[in-house]
Amino acid sequence: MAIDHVKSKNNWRYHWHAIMTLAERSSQSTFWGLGIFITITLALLTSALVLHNSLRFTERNIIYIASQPLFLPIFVNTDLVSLYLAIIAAVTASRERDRGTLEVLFYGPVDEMAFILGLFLAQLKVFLVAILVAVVWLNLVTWLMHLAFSIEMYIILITSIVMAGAVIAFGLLTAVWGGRTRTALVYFLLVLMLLAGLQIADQVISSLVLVTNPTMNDPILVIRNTLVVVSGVIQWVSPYSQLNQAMDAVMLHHLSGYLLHLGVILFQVLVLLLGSILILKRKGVRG
Amino acid sequence: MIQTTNLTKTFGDYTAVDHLNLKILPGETYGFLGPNGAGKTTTLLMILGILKPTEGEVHVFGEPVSSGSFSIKRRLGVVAEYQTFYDEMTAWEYLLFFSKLFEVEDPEKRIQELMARVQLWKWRDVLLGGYSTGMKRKLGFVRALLHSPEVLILDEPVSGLDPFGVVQIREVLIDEHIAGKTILISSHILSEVERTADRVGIIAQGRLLVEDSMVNLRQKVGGYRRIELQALHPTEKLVQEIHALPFVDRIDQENDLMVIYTHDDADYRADLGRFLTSQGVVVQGMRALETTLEEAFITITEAHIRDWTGSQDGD
Amino acid sequence: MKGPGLFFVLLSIFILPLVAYAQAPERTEEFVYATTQFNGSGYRSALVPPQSGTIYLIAGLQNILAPRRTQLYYWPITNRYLADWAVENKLVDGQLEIFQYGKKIALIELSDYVVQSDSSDTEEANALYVGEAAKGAYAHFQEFQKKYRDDLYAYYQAQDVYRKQVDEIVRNAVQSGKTVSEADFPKPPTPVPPLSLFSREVAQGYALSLPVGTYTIQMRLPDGSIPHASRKTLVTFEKMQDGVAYTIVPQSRWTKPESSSQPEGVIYTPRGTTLYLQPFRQSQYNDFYYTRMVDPQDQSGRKDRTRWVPFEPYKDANLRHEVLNLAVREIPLEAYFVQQLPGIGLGYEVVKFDPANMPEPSFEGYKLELTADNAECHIQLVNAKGELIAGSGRVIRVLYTDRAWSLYALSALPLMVGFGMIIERRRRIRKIKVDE
Repeated sequence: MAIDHVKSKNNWRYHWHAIMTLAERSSQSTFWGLGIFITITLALLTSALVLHNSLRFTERNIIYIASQPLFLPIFVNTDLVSLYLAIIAAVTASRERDRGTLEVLFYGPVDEMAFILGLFLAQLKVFLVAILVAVVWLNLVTWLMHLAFSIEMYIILITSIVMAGAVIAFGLLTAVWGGRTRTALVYFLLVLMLLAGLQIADQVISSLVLVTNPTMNDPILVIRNTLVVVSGVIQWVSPYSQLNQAMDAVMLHHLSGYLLHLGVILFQVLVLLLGSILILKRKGVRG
Repeated sequence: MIQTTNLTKTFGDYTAVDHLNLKILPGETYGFLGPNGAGKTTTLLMILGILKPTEGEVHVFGEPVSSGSFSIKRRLGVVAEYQTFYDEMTAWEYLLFFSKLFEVEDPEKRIQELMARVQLWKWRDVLLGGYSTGMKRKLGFVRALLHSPEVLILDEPVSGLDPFGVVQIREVLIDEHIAGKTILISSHILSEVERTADRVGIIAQGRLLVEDSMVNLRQKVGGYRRIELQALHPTEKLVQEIHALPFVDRIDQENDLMVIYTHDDADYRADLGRFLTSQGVVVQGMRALETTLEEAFITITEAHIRDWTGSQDGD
Repeated sequence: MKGPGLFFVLLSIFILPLVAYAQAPERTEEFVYATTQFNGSGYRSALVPPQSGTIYLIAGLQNILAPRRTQLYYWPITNRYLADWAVENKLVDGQLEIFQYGKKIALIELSDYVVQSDSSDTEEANALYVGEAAKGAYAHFQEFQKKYRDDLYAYYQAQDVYRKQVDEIVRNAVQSGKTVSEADFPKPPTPVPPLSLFSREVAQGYALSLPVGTYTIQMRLPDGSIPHASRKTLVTFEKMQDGVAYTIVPQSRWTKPESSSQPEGVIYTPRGTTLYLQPFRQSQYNDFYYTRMVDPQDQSGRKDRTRWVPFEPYKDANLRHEVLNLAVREIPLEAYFVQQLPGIGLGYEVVKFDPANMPEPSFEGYKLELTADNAECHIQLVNAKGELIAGSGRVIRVLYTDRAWSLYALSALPLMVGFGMIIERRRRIRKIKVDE
């Protein structure tokens, strides 16, 4: 019993060590490419564009009233970076399997959980760096422009880390589900397009007329009601949507609402990671 | 050290490994042989826990592999048949990564020592995408040895290597064997296995046909069925007369050198000697030839395939 | 879904609206409620068609629920049901039953009511009278209206006399060649002040003033029956808190004021701006309830959001202006006049109102000049006792809009760092193909 306990304790220690080692290697590999720097720059440029728009509005309109003028730039920034890292996670995971390096890892003290969590933490680490860059940028920008920087900014930035975790975990899921790199990317983009398409369809259909009388049901009504339900589900399933709602809760000082949405995102992370591990176990490591 | 019990793997209707019972003892070098498609790689993958057996069990260091215990994997060193690497890393970075994974002590020193042994040290800062096939195979070896594993599992370890590389790897394997490591080699280059293996297991169509020491194997299969004779200017008439001897099966001749195949394992050198003397033949040399592993392998597997085909036809 | 199926679905989605647009809206006679509800600043009407199952009203205040039969039709352009009151507008006689937790708690009879306003805005009234007071208020309005007509008539008469007198004086002066001065002319008649009381006619409805809660209502007709469409859920809600909103009038764009209702909203403005702040009392409501109260057919509005509703100007207070850690001063509320600049160029200036020389003030407000010295300041109303008014605090910051270029310059830094890192790595490694 004592030996089993020691073995079990050691196994967890080895697991943790494998996860951290894989995370270090993978994050290092991400920083060896120019892609992440281009993405961070593009994300900052997009945030700059959004903020510049507010500045131009102030110049023209003389008055600009905003409780959190930096929320939208932060949201845009974190969305772009997390999306890129999710794609990187998907490509990295599926390439390991495609080219056979995953099998080599599994000869050693690496299993499905260590692999998935290692890649997950790797991209999360990169995201943390991006957030730090964003914090520096935001601080410099608020100082230069004389914007108000509130504690809520930090809360949102921290929340965005959890959101990024969910998006990255989704990338990993598409990788193990799709198998090959191209398939994984296709699945990833298809799901994104599907979610976006459903939301756009909901907006379009809900603006169409409804011809209803007691004897006839408008088929658009059926489609509309379905899309309303689907949109509602997407609101809960999409990490971006949850971050948006968490931001609203922060602005409204709604602690319970904020904790609810944070909890939902954390739950998404857990489900997606668990799903990835289980699917990889089922599919095996051979490409 | 490694034990498989009724190990079976099926892929749909096809049985790749069929109730395989292997036992590899601590400190021995075990040659794992078989024709293409025999189930060697599948067996190795099950031992490594990469594939899950359909039936049966694998125990390594007394622990079931199915437990997924990391303590097993940390004591294994593996060189696979098809090796892939991270092309964007240098050899140094790659080995440092695996050193960290296996928690190797003083990794820089260990890496340098191993790389120098296989003459890769001067290429340590080259991206792996620029490595040749042979260099990658040697690097795989270095990776497998980094953490001083107790067991080495090698699948085609010298494939793609030039003769120098083969010698380097052989020397490493001998050193590891002397150090008491258990080595499981699967290879088609039977001469290399012959040089290093204590025991050999031959499988075909997923089944273990024979498992024995090299000496016993040769004796079982071939014994002393060949006599190499070097005579001065042998005539055609002499060759025919030798062929007519009751114990001779056939003769392969190349100039002055003849290889005489006998019907059975008995030592007919004395009889042959007497005959040659009676004919006044000048014998420059005569020796009995051992059955090689290659010959034993072909004999055993051919027989199995013949029997198997026959049983299939009979059905 | 296979290709042809998908095609037909898409086709129907595009064709059906066209069919709908081609038809004239179908009218049907329906039972509806017409509400006259207090919306925080005044009284407005809303239609509650049968399709709206819940009515929302502010608790503790008088509201009217008028049962009507009318011609109801769906108007596709605005995506809502409308009542053609001109064609049919019949009061439905009966009693209103109110239930809570399954128990009848009240039975309301129809009563007279009238809404009146001091402005001609027919959308919103600022007074509601119920019962006998309604009749009295309407009678008062009729008297007022009569007096106004009489005064207006007298004014026109006096205006006529005045014009004739002026013509006479001018004609005499021309004939005599004498110069005339302003003193020679009679004083013009004083114009009648604009009408300051407007009223609808007295109507009948159910006057409700309920505490916060959820109720069920239905009408009981004289014959004992209950019109199905009269059964509704009634939700009464109260305001969450009071506060102060500001209408901010920039000196250079006085026709485009902005409104600041959120206490946490920071007011940003460029350097060298002069602002005029007009305070309003406001109340905060739940966005979902408020939206549905104003328009029961409006599907927007969120339960997790709130909205502020201003209702009357805040007088009797000064504006405390504090530049952080520095000066504090109090600015009084003053009247200002927007004066057109003479000349062909377009322009105006805002000056202090001078009653002697200006007809009436353009607006009242607190004048705030923002310079580099007060790049961040805090404002709050302070009453006559020197107490700070809760909910009236705001932060004003000068935004350095001329530094926008730095946003982009800073954004490029990570890319430069990236290049540096890659160059450094390339320096350490050898990217060659080894040929043994």
